[in-house]
Amino acid sequence: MRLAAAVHSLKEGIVSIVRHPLASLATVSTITLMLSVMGAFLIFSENAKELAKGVSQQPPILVWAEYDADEDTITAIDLAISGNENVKSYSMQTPEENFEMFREELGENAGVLDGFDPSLLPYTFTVQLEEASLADDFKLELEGVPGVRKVEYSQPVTEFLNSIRLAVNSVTLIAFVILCGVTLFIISNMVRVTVLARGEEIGIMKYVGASNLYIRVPFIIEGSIAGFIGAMAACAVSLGVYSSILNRTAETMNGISFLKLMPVDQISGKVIMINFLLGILIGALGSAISVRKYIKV
Amino acid sequence: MSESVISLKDCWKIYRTGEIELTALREVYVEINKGDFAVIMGPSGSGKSTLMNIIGCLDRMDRGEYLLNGSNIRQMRPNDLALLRNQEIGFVFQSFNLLPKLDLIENVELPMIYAGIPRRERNERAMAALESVGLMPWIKHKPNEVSGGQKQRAAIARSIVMKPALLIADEPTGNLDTKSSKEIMDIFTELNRRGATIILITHEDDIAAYAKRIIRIVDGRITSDKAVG
Repeated sequence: MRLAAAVHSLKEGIVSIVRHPLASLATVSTITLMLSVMGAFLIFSENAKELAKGVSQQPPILVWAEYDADEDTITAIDLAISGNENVKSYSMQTPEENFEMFREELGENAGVLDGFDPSLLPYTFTVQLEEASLADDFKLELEGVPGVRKVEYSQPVTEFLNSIRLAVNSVTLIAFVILCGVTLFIISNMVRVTVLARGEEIGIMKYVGASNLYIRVPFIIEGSIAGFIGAMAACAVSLGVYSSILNRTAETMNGISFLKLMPVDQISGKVIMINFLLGILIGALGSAISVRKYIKV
Repeated sequence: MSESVISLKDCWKIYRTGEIELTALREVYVEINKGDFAVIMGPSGSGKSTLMNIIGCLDRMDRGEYLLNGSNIRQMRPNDLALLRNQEIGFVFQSFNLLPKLDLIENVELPMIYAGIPRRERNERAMAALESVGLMPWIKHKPNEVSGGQKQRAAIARSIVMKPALLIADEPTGNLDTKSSKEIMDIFTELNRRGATIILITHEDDIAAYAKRIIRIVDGRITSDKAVG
């Protein structure tokens, strides 16, 4: 494409947005709506993942040492846990500490433990993993360490949480694909209407020798600009609404740390990036497909 | 021997809609030489516009051979055809086909934009073309601000600004009154006198009287091809 024609095409694409205000408004509104829904899904998905991660860390894994484990064995178990890269945090409970906890749990009935020798209780380790899905591997590995009597964790809960996370991921992915398809379809139809309304103009361009590229480029630029504006609006809508929800729920969720929603700045980067990428890409692609499909050049 | 601009041999065009076939052109042979002023005449549905679309590289034939200025059209890709329309063919239509959002000089500049001609040269050439059709006072007017005759003159200026090998005019006086029609035909006659090769499609005998040659087409076949005047 020659420079003068490229500049002309670029100018035409930009001017077209203003020249056809109703069509542009319809396209931008469609993109905004679609991307806002997509943004809401993204925010939901990120929060659901974070929630699943947080909840999965709540039921800790309990590693029991043998009752007669000596100090060297306990040190070896400690080293095995601290050296495991999947461990997020852990703490060791001495037999005395376990005895105290036991007493506290019994409350008024703690008297039954009077005269009981705390040294008969074993050492235990309370472990939190990076991800709940790593629990099986961790259990197998720790059970192989000498001096470890058993490794306990709530398998059904962990599996349930993992399945929730997988379901959330799958639903998000499917929704993402469907929304992309629907958005593309709607934008294509919008551009198709514009193309049909401007059939005479396209015909004239053909008569005076415009190549297929010269005819397509202004439509693609127009679609990209509509996508850009739609993405901006969608970012404002989805992040604005999320921020408002965050403010309203902040106090309610204050006491339950793992139920807290993610802060806006932690999620905004992803939402902005995906919105702009998709908005511009779908705008341009939708236009390109429509022009290719409906202008016989 | 005259230099051939158009050589169309055994041209067929068949439109297919489902199981229905309509043969719009059959066994059409046309030779147009440099400096010709040929009129194609025929009743509605005779294939005039189909023939014009094929000669103007706006449509492809199903069978036959077409040489435009020595170039074989059948082997060309869409972009090559666009370039050919830009460089070698000027179109004038009954409905003028000017872009309403552009003023007359911008309309005339349009083919030069696609040809990559610099702004200053575009402007000079467009002014010269508009001057040659007597439109200098209206160059900054939009098409809806001038008369039908002036619109058609602007369309002629646009068709000649690239100095094409061939001018194709499809019913150029169809939307004009008698006075404007005469003015437009006088412009075509003058262009032809200066060497332009013109193919004009019409069904009006008084318009055909301006031409040097009349080709008659009925039911997709050339029925006569005679020199006149």
